[in-house]
Amino acid sequence: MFMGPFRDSKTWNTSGIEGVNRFLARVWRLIVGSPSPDGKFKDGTVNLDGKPSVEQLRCLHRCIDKVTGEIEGTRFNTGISAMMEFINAAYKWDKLPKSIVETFVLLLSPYAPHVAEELWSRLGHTTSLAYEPFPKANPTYLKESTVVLPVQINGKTRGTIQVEEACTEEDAFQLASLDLKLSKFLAGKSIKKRIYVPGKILNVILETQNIEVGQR
Amino acid sequence: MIKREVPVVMSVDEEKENASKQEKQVKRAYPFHEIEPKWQHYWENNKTFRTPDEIDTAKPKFYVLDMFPYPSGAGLHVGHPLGYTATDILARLKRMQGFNVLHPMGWDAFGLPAEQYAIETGTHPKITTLRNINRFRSQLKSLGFSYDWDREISTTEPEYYKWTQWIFLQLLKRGLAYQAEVPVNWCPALGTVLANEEVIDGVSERGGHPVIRKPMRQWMLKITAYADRLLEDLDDLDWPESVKEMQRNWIGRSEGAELEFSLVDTNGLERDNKIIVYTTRPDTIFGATYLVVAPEHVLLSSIVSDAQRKQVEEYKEIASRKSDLERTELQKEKTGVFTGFYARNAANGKNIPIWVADYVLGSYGTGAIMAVPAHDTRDHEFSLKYSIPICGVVTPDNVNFSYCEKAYTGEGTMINSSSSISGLDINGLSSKEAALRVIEWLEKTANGMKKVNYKLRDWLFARQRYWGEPIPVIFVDDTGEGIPIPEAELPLALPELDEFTPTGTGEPPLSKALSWVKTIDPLSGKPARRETNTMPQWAGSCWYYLRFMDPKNSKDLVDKEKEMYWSPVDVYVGGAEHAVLHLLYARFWHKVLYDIGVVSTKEPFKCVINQGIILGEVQYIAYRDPDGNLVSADSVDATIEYSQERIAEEKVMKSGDSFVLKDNPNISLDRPCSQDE
Repeated sequence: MFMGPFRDSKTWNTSGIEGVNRFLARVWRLIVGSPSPDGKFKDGTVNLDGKPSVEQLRCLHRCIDKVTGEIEGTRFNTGISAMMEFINAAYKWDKLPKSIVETFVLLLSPYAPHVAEELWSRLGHTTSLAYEPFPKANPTYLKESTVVLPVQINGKTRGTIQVEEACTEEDAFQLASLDLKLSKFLAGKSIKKRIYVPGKILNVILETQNIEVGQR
Repeated sequence: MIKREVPVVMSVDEEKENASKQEKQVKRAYPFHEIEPKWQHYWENNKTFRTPDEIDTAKPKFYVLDMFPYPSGAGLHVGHPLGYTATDILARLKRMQGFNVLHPMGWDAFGLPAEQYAIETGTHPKITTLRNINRFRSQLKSLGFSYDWDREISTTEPEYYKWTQWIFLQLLKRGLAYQAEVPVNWCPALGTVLANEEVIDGVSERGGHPVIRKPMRQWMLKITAYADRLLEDLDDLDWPESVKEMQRNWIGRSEGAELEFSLVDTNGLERDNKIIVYTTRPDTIFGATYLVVAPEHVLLSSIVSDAQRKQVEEYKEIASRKSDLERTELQKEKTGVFTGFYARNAANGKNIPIWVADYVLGSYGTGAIMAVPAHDTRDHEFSLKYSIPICGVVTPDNVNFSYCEKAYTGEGTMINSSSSISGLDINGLSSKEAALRVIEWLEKTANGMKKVNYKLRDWLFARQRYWGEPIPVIFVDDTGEGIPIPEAELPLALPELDEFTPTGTGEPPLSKALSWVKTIDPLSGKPARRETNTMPQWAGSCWYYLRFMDPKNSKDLVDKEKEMYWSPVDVYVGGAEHAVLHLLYARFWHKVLYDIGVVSTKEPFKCVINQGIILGEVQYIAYRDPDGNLVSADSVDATIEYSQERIAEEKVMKSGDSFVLKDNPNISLDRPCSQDE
């Protein structure tokens, strides 16, 4: 399926199969872990914890959207590319939340049912995934658009940050503290309160004494 | 192919190579060798992909179908899993999206190869077929496809072909099956009728014996009665435009006219007989400078002058050895012979010569044409060769055109097109207006009429073969009348035979099953003989998609409610080589079944997808002589047996037009490029 567009003629080439084999192996090791020196893989999976971040969810839902569309349009090869992109991104994450992995395994299953069934059972399921609901893309995570978010410190606009519309409060605050201009106002200060209206504004209220110190 | 993690088709060398690689390096990238069989067993034991007979029909359905394979002796080839993987991905997706999915597999198992193998080895086609099916099934299972194996069917099972025969009886009842004398490819040396594919350049593929066209009694199916519907209903289908266009061309509907030409003999005397021609360009009637009749035209013998008779007979004989394709497409130079007779063109009263030429087919139109060399490329070529006058009657607007150099086949303004004899004057009209005016004149003067014509021919539905569905008809001995056997007697089982060689007389092999052939007409009690022709391989594949909906039904071809729920096939995937015939034949049967209330949809396949073909990998082969020395590919000796060795691409370089070994440029290599579906 990865050899090219389904309706086109293509040249037989075993390196294409190697590529796909490598991809499935990367999926396998991401979820099951690396083999021990004797080549054996342990049972179960790697530690799958944490709550999915917005970035992870966006990455996942982009993949769901693409894979669904490409299968229904019989463009199977580009559906695989989308899953490869997802796995490349997932290798860079510190934490791999279980819910993300489960959704991805379902997404992979029409293409690679054997591996998917095995991973599904290692994720703690006792029956086949053949009739599990196929993941649906949540449009919230598909929006590519970013907004310019004004950031106020104690009610005064001190600068702006570029964020995705669906950005969480935590992510917006992180971005603000990394911003060159804003960081001057925030560095080393303790925060009293944050007011966040997604897509509209982030207001940070600092502890009073800090303001006094600042004024001096 | 992502689904299965190892290549499906490997050469023995590759397999060995892989095995040794795996031994050396036990670390597999991931343990697919354990995972795959484990889950295949799980699916089989749990019947995970079983689509039950009774289902919740409130849920939406999705019927995804592969063109079922002919189980050849070679096993699967890479083209099979390509299509099957695609449908499998769709099936799995749709199941998870909450659809009831029908995803079945079966075998199109009647056909020539098993019979030829039987002739060569004496192995009964039933045994070969069963063996091949078992191999195909296990290969497909090892790939993990999610078929509902409980619905498996084979076209060779009596429980299945009972219904193929039943459909034939319905066709017969409705006058859509009839008998006719039709020319077949007859090879006197082999004593057998050959399929078109078995005839190459007029000789048999096996043995190179001459093949002639010989009329034989055949069963025909009247697909032409459905030509208009087969054409119109294409518009709403979600099929590749290229496939629809191929079907349109194959049906080949054209609007034109039939014209009558009175015969005039060598002495200028008018005869009673008339030649009827079909033309799509009645506007060019004044440009007709000769007529052509096909060599097989029924009137030919009565329109030949004594002086020309010998030449015409010889020409007929030569033409009978050519296939239609050869005559119309392949043959570079047109040939023909003057018959000695003339025809009167009623439009201008002129007598024009009648020729016999094989570029006109007896089966198209009326088997005769009015030739207009100025406006038809083939006629133009022919008239130049035989010095027949060329008379231009359509002029391209604002352009001076030399009709002597080539034909002008487009439309334009009429010139040289009036006659005081007939009173017909179409000068200055456009081609379209002129055509209408000519048809009007033809009908008023009883010289012809408007006529729609199709390239589509009736379907030759009999084969002189053993390994096919018996045709359920008997012939009463004293009258020779063909009588359908009662439906209650179906299936009419194929009798056992030990020997499958052709009879030598053109009689089908089944005529050797004497006790089977001899029977009694159940109505009159008179002795009768069974039909010994069998159905073509197309028959079983015409309706199998319906049987998958209800494969075990012994009372009906398919249960009404099940058919209502599952029809039509939502996605149908297969090779483009079936774009015309299989799909057209299946649509035809489907429409007949629709008319008799067996199916509820007008069309069988909502969406058809053609997979691309997989081309062979580039390979380089070096030859070694029996002593183990490398031999250049351009100097191999056909009498010596060489061992072949595959050379890796990095050890090869190009030298001139050939490829040579980098280490030893004196050794050139072969580059066979295999191609598979």
